[in-house]
Amino acid sequence: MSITNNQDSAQHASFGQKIQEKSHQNILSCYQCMKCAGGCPMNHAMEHCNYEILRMVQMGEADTVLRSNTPWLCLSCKTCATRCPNGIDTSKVMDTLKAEAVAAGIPLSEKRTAIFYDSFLKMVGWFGRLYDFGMVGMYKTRTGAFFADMDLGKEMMKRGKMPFLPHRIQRVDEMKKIMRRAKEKRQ
Amino acid sequence: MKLSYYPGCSLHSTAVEYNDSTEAVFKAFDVDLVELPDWNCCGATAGHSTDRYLALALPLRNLVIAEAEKEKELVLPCAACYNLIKAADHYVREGTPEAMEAVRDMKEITGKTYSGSVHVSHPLEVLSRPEYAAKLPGKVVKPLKGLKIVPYYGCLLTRPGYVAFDNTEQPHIMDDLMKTVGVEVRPWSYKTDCCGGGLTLSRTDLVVDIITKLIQEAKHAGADALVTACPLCQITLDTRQNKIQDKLPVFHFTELMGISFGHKGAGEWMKKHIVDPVPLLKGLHLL
Repeated sequence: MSITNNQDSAQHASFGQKIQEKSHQNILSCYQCMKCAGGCPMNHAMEHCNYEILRMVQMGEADTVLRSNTPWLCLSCKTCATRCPNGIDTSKVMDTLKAEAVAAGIPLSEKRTAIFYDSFLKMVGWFGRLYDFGMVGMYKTRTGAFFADMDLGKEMMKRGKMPFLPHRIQRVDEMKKIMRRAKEKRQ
Repeated sequence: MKLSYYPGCSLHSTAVEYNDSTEAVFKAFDVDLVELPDWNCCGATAGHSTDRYLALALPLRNLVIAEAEKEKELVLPCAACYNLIKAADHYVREGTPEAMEAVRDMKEITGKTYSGSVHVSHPLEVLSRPEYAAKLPGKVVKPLKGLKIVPYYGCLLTRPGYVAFDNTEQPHIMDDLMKTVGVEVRPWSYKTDCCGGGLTLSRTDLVVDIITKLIQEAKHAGADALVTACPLCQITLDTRQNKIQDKLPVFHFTELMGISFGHKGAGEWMKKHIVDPVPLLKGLHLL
């Protein structure tokens, strides 16, 4: 085991504390029982199991956790939250880590998912509701996944399940204010 | 009787048949669902995943609108909207600092506040209440004999505990409703597994694996179809059976209730499905 100097430990502690505070989860209480990973539907595809992420947050290994694909594969199914003996909602830690990775400008391991979330929220800010057609168009343009789901898209449109035009709510200015406020708080 | 109604974005697009069948089922109980004026998207996975503030603020705007309505109960058929809006309501009632801050912001932005007086509920919760349960058998004109299903609750209706109205690990409300309308409910262990919906566009490969497993397990359980109470579970199960040869239809629970009530619009709902449920229903003389 390597001995870290005081400055390193302070940095590590502050990362752990920051994630703990922002996620409102008592990460320090995790004692690695691994129940969270036992019920996780994405465990097999994750670079690190969720309890490993919690340990690394405790240890202040910011770079590893923020570059891991694990937070981006979390489906927020909350199986971990329901089963944790210490009441930790690991999915909220994952959400905090995603937000931190975006804010820190770290190259994201699951870029398409980040683009999906962002394209979705753009529509919500512009129209007040999700505009599927616009969101999919923006997502495809930004990811280059032009040909994915073409047949499915046609079937959906044929059934009237993907309206061509958006529905804009009346007080869309309130949405813009909410989005602006969110952005200010992220900075 | 009237109840406030928040359809959410899906019920106006990818799940119109869930919207129509929900309205039809409530109508059969003489309940009008009155759409919340000028409601906005709850933000769904995209909102909470990267912005905790949006996970509170977007649902709160709807709660502010709902509190100004006469009916103090807000019905949400989408499990994702239900989960987020119920959670926001929970945090306001708990008085967490973040929720209080969002409430103050909402006062500034909309001119109105939210005090935590709206009862946020899912149709499954409403329809299982004694006053509905007592009337339900009398509404069934065509018991769905011979139809074998597995109920699929997914994640967001029963987790975490503070949004749940049923057992988190072994929910049964949908099982009970389905049995009452004559459906044979097959036991299986995957009721509350996740469908992967949130990653359906960006990691389709992983989602197809999840759905393949779920459909295979539904077949092992002896089911001819799945029944959901969430538009996102339904669309994911309905559209991601790429690796399955004999695909299984996926119903919204309100569709099966509507068919058993003899609702005339049921044929139209079936046309909206990707995996065609008509051969199964016609084979059993249910449509």
